[in-house]
Amino acid sequence: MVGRGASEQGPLFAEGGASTLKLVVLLALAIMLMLADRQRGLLDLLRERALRLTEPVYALAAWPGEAMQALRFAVRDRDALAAENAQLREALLQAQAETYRHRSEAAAGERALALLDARSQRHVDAVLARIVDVDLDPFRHRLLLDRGRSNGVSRGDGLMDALGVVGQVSAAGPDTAFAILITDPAHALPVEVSRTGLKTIVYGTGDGEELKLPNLPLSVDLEVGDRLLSSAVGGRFPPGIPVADVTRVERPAGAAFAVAYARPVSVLGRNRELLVLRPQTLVGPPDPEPLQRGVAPLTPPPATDPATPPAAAADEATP
Amino acid sequence: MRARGHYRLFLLSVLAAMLVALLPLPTALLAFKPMLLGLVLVYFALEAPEVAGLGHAFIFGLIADLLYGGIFGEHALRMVILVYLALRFRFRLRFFPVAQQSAAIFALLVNDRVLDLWIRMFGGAGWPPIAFWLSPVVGAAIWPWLFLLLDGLRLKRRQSERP
Repeated sequence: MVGRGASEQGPLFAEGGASTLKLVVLLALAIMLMLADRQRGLLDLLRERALRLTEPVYALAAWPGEAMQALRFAVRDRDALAAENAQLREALLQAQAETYRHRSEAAAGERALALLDARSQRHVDAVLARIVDVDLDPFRHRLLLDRGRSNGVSRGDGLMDALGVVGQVSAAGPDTAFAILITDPAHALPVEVSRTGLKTIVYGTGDGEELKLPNLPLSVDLEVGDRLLSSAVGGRFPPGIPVADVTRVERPAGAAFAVAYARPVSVLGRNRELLVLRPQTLVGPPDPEPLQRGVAPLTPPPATDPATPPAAAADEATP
Repeated sequence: MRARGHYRLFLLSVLAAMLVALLPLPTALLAFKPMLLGLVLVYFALEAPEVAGLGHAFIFGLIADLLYGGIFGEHALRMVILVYLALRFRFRLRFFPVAQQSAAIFALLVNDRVLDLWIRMFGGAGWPPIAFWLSPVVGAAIWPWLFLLLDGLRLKRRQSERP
C-alpha cells in the first residue's frame, strides 16, 4: 500500500504524499488524544495554557460583532445609559441570586436540616461575565466568556443567568474562559427536587431543550412540572438555584429504573451576560476586620464557617 | 523559493479560514457555516501537496481543536482523513471539471460530517438536528469560488516572484 502510493505520486511529491503509515500513526495519535481528553483534568490544563495564546485570536474574531454592537449603541443611546443598563442588570442578577438563596433557606428551615442551615451564613460571591461573540461549533454546548483568572474565574465555577443554572467553567485562561453548558452530554449536575427534597443528578443530552435524570428508583416521587434546584452537593453552586422543570417521567415496563426528562430553565440564546459563581471556600469571604481589631475570639466572625466542610457534601454525593 | 512562497500563502489562508469560522453569525445562519479550514487544506493538498501534508493537517487540526473548544484531537483526526483522501485521489480530482470537482468535495465533506457524528456519538451525544447536514452543501457550493480565489492568489505570488 505504501509502495503503491509512493509510485503513484512520483518522486516529486514524495514528501507531501499520502503515506499510509503516516496516516495510521497520526490517526492513532488523534484517537489517543481524544481518549485522554475524556479523562478530565489532564488536557484541560493544557487548554488553559493554550488560552493564553488563543485569546488574541478571539479578540480579533469578536471585533466585528462588538463594533456592530457599539455602533448600534452609539446611534440609539448614550454611553452613560448603556453603562447604567449594565449596572442594573448586574444588580438584578445579584438580587435574584440572593432571592433564590433565601427561598432555599426557607425550605431548608422547614425541613429543619441543620446542615443546610449552617450553610446559609454565606453570601453569593459572583462575577459578571459576558459571552464573547464568537462562534464555536454550533452543535456543541460550549461558550466563551470574557472573564478569566485575572478576574477570579477558575475552572469549575458555576454559571447562572437571571433564570437559572447555565453551566460551568471548563477552562479558564488569563482573560477568557471556556464554559460547558448543562445540556452538554459530558455534563452532570447534582440537583434537588424542590417539592420533595429528593437529591439526584441531572445529565446533559446534547439537545439544548432536554436534560435527563436516569437511574431513578421506580417508586420515585417525581411529577411532571416539578422544579429541580441546584444542591450544595459538590460545592459548585449555592443551593436553591433553579435548574430545570421535569417534562416527563418514564417507567418502562420491565426496567429496573425510572427515567425522567427535564427542560432547562435558563434561556441561553437570549442573554449575553452571565454570573460566574465562585465556589464557597472553607473560610468564607475575606473579612479582615476582626483580626485588625484584635478581638477575634470575642466577636463572632460574621461569615466564617468552618463547620461546613465539603466532606459533608461528599457524603451526600455518595448514593 | 516557490515552495516557500506557497508555504506563506498556505499558512495565511489556513489562519484566515480559522478566524473566519469564529466570526459571529446570526443564529439562523449558524448551521450553514461551511468547514472552511477543511476546504483550504483540501485545496492545498490538491494544488500544492509539497506544503500541505498529513502532518500539517494534524497540527492545524489540533490548533482548531484548541480554538473551538471541542474534544482534543477531533479536528486533527477529521483533517488528517480529509487531506489523506484528497491526496489519494489527487490526480483524478485535479482533472475533473468544476462541477464534478464540487460534487467530489461534497462527498469528502459529507464523509467528514459522518466522522464528526461518530465522534459525537462516542462522546455520548444524541442524534444532531437535520441542519447538521447543511454545512457540506454550503461547502460544495462555495468550493469553485474558493478555488478561484486561492488560485488567483497563488498565481499572483508566482508572478511577483519572477523578475
